[in-house]
Amino acid sequence: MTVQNSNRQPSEFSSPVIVEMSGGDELTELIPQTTLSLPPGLTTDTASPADPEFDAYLAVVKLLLGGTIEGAGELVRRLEKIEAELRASEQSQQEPGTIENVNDVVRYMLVGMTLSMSDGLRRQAVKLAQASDAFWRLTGSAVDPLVENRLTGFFTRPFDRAFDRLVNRGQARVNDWVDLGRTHEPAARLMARQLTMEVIDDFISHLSENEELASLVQEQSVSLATETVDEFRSRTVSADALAENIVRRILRRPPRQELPPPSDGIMETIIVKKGNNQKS
Amino acid sequence: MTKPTSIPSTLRGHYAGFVSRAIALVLDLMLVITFQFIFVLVVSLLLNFFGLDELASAIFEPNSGEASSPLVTVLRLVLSFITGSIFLAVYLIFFWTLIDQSLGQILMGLRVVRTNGNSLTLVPSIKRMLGYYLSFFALGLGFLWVLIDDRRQGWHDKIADTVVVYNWDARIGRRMREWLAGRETKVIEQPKADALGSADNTYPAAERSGG
Repeated sequence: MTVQNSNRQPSEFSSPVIVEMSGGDELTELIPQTTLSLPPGLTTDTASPADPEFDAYLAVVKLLLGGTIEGAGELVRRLEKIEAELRASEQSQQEPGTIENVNDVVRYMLVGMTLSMSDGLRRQAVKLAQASDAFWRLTGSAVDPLVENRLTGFFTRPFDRAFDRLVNRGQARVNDWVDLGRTHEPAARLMARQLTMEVIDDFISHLSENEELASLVQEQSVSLATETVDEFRSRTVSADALAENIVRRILRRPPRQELPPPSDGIMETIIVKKGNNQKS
Repeated sequence: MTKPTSIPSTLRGHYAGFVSRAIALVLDLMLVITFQFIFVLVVSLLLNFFGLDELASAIFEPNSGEASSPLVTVLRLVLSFITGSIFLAVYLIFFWTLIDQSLGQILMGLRVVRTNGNSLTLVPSIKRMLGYYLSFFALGLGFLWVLIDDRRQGWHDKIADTVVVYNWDARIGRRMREWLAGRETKVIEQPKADALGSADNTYPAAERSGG
């Protein structure tokens, strides 16, 4: 594998680095070269990709990486937001939990121990790094006069050169990885984001194109609207009777005993029209 | 002795009461006012488009310019009332003649028919509309007449020989029915005035109790 601009620092790159993959690279070696044959009668639904250079394995890996990065970023953003809201709200000042039995004590102890350990580990790691740095500086200054002289240099120079070569090769490999990551990370994130949106879009379009679901929603909406109108009308019919009753009482007229029946002509007209509507 | 009271299962074809009719009229008025507003807007835009800005301003903006005076304002209000009345009349007569219902009445499930059951024609529709104005200018007494009339007719109904009936399977609401059922034991039987009503036409018992 050859990488262009591999000697430059990552901050110097203004555009993605082009990585040329040779046939014997590790990534190509990870792709299975043998094809598995299915039993007769069984076929896969997967269509062969239109792009002959499409690498499914690499695409899936990129998708997983992009999804992990995007998911982690989103998770951190949400956690930060929740923490800020909790801090701002009064919930952060709520009373400590109550202890009612032994189980509560054990639970609280485990929670407290976990929190304390994670914080302690972080502080110990920082201390360890500082101590290591101080140790190497101290020993280096003490050993340097012994090592850096002509006599020992005669023996140690070949080892130093070999070590330098090893370091250079390691650094080159690290640079390759950095460049590879820089090249593919934005595409992986974009792929994960687009795939998520496409899956959501497909899901929504599937729901909207589902005739059964659409008819169900439509029926429910019509039924709800009809019920609402009927309920409103029923209330006004009740209000008709109530208002009439009140006015008659105010006017000291005898309350209505019976609804005057409509004439036969009216009933015929209304019922005939109802029958016609039901037929249509 | 209490007489068992039966609430009709459906009031379809029975005379509609004041509240339903009032709500239908308010809906119609809102519709006409909306249409009038749109009409004024369109006319104003047309006048502006043809360069008649001053005319548009004089007609539709009564408080601007030197011509504004109390008399002009009153005249404009009267003009706007007359225009609205014409819109209302055309709208109602058109729908009554065509389908016996205005849009507000369709929503409320009401229908206007002649007392003999026939559909409305142009002349009764015009008479009924004129009756509306009479009822209105009599301080609304013509509309309130629905509350005390036996067939729930307003003055406009009497002029046009029409009635308004429920055009749906109208029924009294659940709470009202419960309220009526709760008061049923207080009902004191009274002799029937006439033999018009069958059991289905019996009015809710609460109204017989007299308080």
